[in-house]
Amino acid sequence: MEKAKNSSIWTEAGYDLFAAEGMEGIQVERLARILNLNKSGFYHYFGDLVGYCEELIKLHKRKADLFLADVAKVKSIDPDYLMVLVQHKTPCMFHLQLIRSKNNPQFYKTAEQIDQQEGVLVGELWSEYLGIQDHPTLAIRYFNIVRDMLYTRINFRNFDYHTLHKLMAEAKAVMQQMTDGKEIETGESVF
Amino acid sequence: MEKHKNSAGWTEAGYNLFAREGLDGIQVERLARILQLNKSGFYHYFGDLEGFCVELLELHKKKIDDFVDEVYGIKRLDPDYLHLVISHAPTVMFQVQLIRNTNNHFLYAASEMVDRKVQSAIRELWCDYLNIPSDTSLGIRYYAIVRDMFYTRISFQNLNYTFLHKMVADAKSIMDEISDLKPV
Repeated sequence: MEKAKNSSIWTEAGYDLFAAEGMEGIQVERLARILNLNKSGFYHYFGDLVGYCEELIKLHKRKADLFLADVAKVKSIDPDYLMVLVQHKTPCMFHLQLIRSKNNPQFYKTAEQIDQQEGVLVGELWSEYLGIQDHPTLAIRYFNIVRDMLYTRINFRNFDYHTLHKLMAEAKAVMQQMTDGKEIETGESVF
Repeated sequence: MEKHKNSAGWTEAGYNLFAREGLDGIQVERLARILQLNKSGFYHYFGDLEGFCVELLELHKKKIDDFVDEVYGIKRLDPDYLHLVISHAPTVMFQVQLIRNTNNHFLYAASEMVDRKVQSAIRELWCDYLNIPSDTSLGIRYYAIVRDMFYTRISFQNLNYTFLHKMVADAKSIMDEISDLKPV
């Protein structure tokens, strides 16, 4: 029990660092300095950086389960789902770093699995949000593009409801412009 | 002239490192080791890391201008533009790294300027590819979304024709299918 408690200090600290900076942010020296602990503890609990990363992934899966449980309860994309994203800001940013770590197949695979589960949960609401309830498969395909667009534009500083709302509204407006040709200005366009 | 040539060795090496690893990859020690040069040269030419980054951005703008010149010479998005993107892989990945450095306003602002340049250059090709008129905002708004998706998914490993072709073909077919739906 004591062991689990102490090792979790290391993983929680590393989790936040990874979310902010990705794999480059994870250095044993630095973690030890942040926690005011001796490096030997790190090697005692995790063996090496590889073992440590496996623990970070496990932690992420647990946090992703909590996130997905909240996603399952939402009644709308905007604002419910967007608010859930904001509440789970750190796991979302961790997730984004996993996606960017294409050199590491385990990271990427973990992210893909969670994305798939999320797609299943929000599919119906998303088609409603777009106004194409009868075409859930098409809506999900568009969702995959929009989610990756969000990942490019969000960071720890702008990760709030206002930013997410603007980006989602632009995605919806573009989709509506495809069907009826009408331009809806959201202020998000960059041209 | 000699000075310029030598400083260019540092910036070219730094450019490629930045493209692979972002700002974190730029360490004077490491650059000196790669180039088998003394660190003092670095400080002589650039003063400090910030001065070096200014030069990297200048180099990026030059490479983007070359890229954009070539864009104006091609006829089709697929395959011409996709091949062009692949042949400029370090420049494309440098741009991706700029965007990911959101903590640094200076780098981020540079990335936005580049995006606007490329966007103007590609507008016609992209709208032709989607088979929509280029005089409405739709093409370029959808382009911005697809481009940002590309920035999330792309890496040196998957920057190849198969991957890019699938990405744009998917974006086109989604748009075609949505356009076929009755107005809501």
